[in-house]
Formats: sequence, structure tokens, C-alpha cells
Amino acid sequence: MKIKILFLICLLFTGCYNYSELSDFAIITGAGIDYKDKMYELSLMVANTKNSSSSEKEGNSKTSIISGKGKTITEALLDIESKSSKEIYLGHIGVLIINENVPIYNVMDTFFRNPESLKKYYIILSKDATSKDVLKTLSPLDNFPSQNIITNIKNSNKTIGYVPEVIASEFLYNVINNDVDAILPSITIEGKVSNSDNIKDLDKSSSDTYLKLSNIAIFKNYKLVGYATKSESKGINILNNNINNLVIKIKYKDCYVVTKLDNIKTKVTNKIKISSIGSINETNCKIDLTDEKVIKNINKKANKEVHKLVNKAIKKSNETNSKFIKIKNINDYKIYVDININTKGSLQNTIKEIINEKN
Amino acid sequence: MKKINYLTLMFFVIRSCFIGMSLNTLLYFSKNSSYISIIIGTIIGICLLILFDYISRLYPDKNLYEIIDCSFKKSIANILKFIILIFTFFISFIIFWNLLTFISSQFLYKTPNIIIAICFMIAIIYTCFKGYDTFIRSTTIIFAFTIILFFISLISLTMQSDITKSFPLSISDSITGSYFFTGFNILPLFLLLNIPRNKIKDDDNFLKHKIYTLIFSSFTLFSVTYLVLTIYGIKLASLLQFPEFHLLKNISIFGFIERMENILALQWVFDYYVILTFLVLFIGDYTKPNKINYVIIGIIIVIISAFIFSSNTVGDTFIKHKLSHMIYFVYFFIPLLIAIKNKLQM
Repeated sequence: MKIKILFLICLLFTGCYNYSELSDFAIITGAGIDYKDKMYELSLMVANTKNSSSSEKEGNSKTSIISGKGKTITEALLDIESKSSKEIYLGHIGVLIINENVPIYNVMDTFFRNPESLKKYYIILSKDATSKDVLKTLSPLDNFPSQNIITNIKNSNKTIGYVPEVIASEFLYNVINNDVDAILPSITIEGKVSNSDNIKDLDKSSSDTYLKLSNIAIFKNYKLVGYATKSESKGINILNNNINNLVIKIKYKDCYVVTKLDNIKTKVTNKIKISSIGSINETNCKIDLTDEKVIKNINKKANKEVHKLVNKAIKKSNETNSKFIKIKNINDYKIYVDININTKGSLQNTIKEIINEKN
Repeated sequence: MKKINYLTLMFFVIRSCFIGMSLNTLLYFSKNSSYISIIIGTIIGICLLILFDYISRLYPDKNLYEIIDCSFKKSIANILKFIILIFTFFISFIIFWNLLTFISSQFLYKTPNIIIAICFMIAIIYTCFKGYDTFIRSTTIIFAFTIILFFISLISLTMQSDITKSFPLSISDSITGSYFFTGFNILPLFLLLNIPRNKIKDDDNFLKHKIYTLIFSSFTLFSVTYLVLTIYGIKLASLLQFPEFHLLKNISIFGFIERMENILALQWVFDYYVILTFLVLFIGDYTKPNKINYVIIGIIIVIISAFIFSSNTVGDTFIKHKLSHMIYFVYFFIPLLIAIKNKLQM
């Protein structure tokens, strides 16, 4: 009798209540929010469309963007639900694109309140373009525009140096805390915006439209106050210890030496110490790299260049009165830069110098 | 009942009221100093353990109800037993309500609470049928799982902490917080007096082992509070419902093993399961413990916890501002009264 009762209970509690198939969900990997005329426009990029599972066919996009409008973000989401045959699932959002005009607090409140989302997605600001257009822009390198943006942010953070990786929980922390202000990377569309979702454009060897990561957007409290320049953005990332690699161009006599700095570390004790190991990537100068004095001179100039970037960032912070640099009372610290250029790539000397010797 | 070692049960009783209750209260009153409050609360807890140990030594062969009967006149003893019984029932409603809120808000937000309640209560009642021996043995196995899950969480999250996010610290806030931590997490150990002293293994070193268990259990809670404050900061931690669960969403092992929060959160579910089973057994001991009594107690807990609070806000406000004072009144003053009465009688 006991076994019969247990068996009956097992049948009732197999988790079949509110059963859902994976194919019943529209899995959202990217979202964009625009705000115009007091109306929100929410654009969602659905990953599991009919075409995404089939093999590549000519003229077929693998993703689908569905948009909805409403006076609130939830209304816009319901508008999308009315157009979608599948239930919207926000648990796999990888990137959230926000337009410059959108009230940040409202967006964060809605998306953080949702129990499905992980709060680990990237947030990016769309500059001089709507979030919808950014989300629609196809790339020849990735099947999904949202994935394209995510990998672009990750790689650019490692290589370019002026793009910070900002995830949702970190952004919300910066927005609600009094001691610190938020920053966001921004993204623009280069080329014909109207052509951004044209799949035939991808058949060409050179695409007419592409997404480009831009400068850091600076917030004061939760309001957008401006954008930093590339140099200022690099300085901000150096001070916030949010950078690993950086390429700097040093003017040497009347030509340039391009150095790549690796493992940039910023330590704050009673002073700010920025240390890094560098290597020479490119030079069109007639200089002798086997001469220790030349290397020391390049080191000195690299130190000055990094110093300049950091000073620009501090000046921007003072101008905007925004606490986006995480170091408190930054103006009270002295800055020491210690760069050690110890490698020259595969060449021992510059080609121009060798040609000069030959002549 | 064979001789048992209830240190693992003690571990879970200390941890039981943490998620959703103690941590939220600490973040509200102590703010950045919440983890310092836990250290102070643990030191106070050692003194309370000595008090409870003294009471258990007075009548080694009696459970808590019998100790009260021997210490006071019949009328006063009945009143005190009744107060403890009613309050323990009340605590079990609140803990069960908290469990349902946790499960329904973070996991099963579309499932009706009654289905979740029935699932848990069937497991709890079935464990009660087997008695203290089997229950305590099962806590030993659950303890092993909990420790593994805890250390995975701790090791994965430690690198993400930034101690500067938890500044500034305040001594007055720490002391205020220690009052709440002691109330929610240490004082419920009073209920463990229901297991007679002569049923406990290794009686000679038992106080020492209980203190070690208290320190280890408090260390786990200290780690969670420290990580919540140093990763989220006080403002974001206060904003989130169950920040200790949201913290687990940040875990990424070897860079590719993610979304483990549902498995790692089982450590909290185990805490709830153990404390609720113990409370049902404790309440059942007031009358003659039998299976029908456990079923009736389980049904009462399921029904009342569905209606006890009209909303989450009402529940959270009650837990923060009123519950801890009530716990002190029952689980501190009554054992103090027992100890003083017996000391005077001697």
C-alpha cells in the first residue's frame, strides 16, 4: 500500500506542472531600447528563428528582430509578445543596447527586476544611431549581431584600450552609489544605416555598413553628461585598472615609434604607480634600436605619453565633476609611470637604419 | 533513542534563519559592518552555548519540556511550555513562508505556492516519521553536500571581492547587528535542549565541539556576508531580494562553467529542510509523538504560512523590526529563568 501511495505521489510531482518545450520560447540574445516622444521602443533579437537551425541559404538572415512600442518598457514587451508566436525568454540576454535619450534608472529597474535574466550581460550606449539599427546591423564575421557586439567589446578591451567591459550589475552599482559614477562604452554605425540589415551586402568583399565601438560615455549620477575622447578613454581605463593592453604612438624626432604595452597595472598606495612591459610594434624612424640610450629615450617618451593620457582623464573628471575614476580624491595623488620596453618584436633594429647603413 | 552526535544538526540550526531573514536585517541595521556583527555575535553565542550547556547538565535524562516541569511549579511550567510551543509554531510558519518566497521568487515564479509547499512538507513529514536517529544521520550526509557547495561558491567568488566597497565600518552598527545575528542564528540553539544530554555521544568534550561547530557555522555566514558586501556594495545588496542568491550568478568556473546558481543554492534549501524537520519534531514532542500528529502539524504549517503575511513587504518589515525582539523574549529569557531558578534551588 505504501509503495502504491509513493508511486502515485511520484507521478503527481514529476515537475510536469506548467511544462514548457524549449521550442515554445523565443530566446533573446540582444535587446535595444530607444526613447522618443515619451514612448519606449524595445527591440529584441531572437536567436532561435526558423532559419537559424537550418543550413545557410542564400538571402536568408539567421536572426530576427522584433520591435514593440509602449509608454513603459513592459508595455513595449507586451506589444512584442502580441507579435510573437513564442514566449519571450530573457534569460540568455548577452547585450543590452541603450540609446542616449533613454532614462537609465527605468531600464535598470525593469531588467533587474526580471528574475530570468542573469545580470551579467554587457551594456552599451548607441551613439548617433538608434539601438534598433545597431541591433539590426549584420556582420560578415558573426551570424548574430548581438554576438558580434559582445565579441567586439571583449576583443577591443584587450587590444584597443579605450573600450571598457561594463556588465549590468557593475553598471547598476556605479549608478546607485554616491562614491562613484558610471561609464559605458558606446557604439556607432559607419556607412549606410538603411543598408545595415541587407544580407546581400555581406556577399560583397567589402561591406558598406559596419558597427564601430566608440568613446566612453560619461554619466553623472544617472544622467549622460558627455563623451570622452579616445585619449581620455584610454586614461580612464588605465586609472580604473580596466585595461590589459594598449598601443601608444610616440613621436621620436620627426617620425613615430609605435609601442604595445602589456600587463598594465595601476597600484594605489600613497601614490599612483602605473607599470607595464612594452614592445616596439612599428617604427618608420631612422634610429638605432641596438643603442641602449635610444631605448631609454623611447621608454622616457612612452612614460610621458601614458602620463599625458592619465592627466587628460583626470582633467575630464574635473571638468564634468563626475566620479568615474574609482580612485577617491585623485587630484591628491602623484602619478608615477614605469614602462619597461624590453622587446622589439622579431627585428633587432629598424629597417630604415639598416638601409641607411647600407648606403 | 541511540546515542547521537547532533553537531551537524546544530550547524544547520545556526544557518537556518540566515537567508531572507538575518542577512536582510543585518544589511538594514549594520549596513557595511554586517560581517563584523557576525564576529561579535559569535563571541556572544559562545556565552549562550555555555548557558544552554549548563541547563542540559541539570537534568541529563530529560528533554526540554521535562526540564521545565522539574524546574517550576506545574502551572508556571505549563504556561512556559505553552509559550515555547506557540512561539516555535510561529517561527516555523515564518521560516516556511520565507522558504516559499525564496523558491517562488527566484526559481518557480509561475508555480502556485501551495504546490511548492506540499512538495517540501511531504519530505519533511516523511523524515519525521523516521524519528530523531534517522533524521540526524541524514543531516550528516546533507552536511557533506552543503560544505562542498559552500566551498565551491567561496573559492569561485573570492577573487571578485573588493574590500573597499564595504567601507566605511562602524562599531555602533556592528554592535546593533550582533544583537540581531544572535537573535536569529544563535538563540534557536535553545531548542536543541529537547535532545536529552545522556543521548549524546562523547559527552565530555561536547561543549568544546559545540563551540567549534558554532565558529565554523558562523564562518560560513561571515563569508557570505563579506562577499555580498565586497562584491555588490551595501546599496546594491540592499536593493536586491536575496542578494546571497544573486551572488551565485556571478560564478564562472574555469571561465566556461556558468549558471550554477540553482545547484549552489541547494545549500540554502538544505538549511530550510533541516530546520523545518527539526521544528516539526520539536512541536510533535509536546504531545505523544506519532505519525498523525506530524501530519497535522505539517498541514497547519502549510495552511497558515500561506496567509501569515499579506505581502512580502509586510513580512520583511515584521521580520526586521519585531521578530528578533520576540525571539529574545522566548529563547533567551526562558532559559535564563530556568538557569537562575535551578541555581537558586541549589
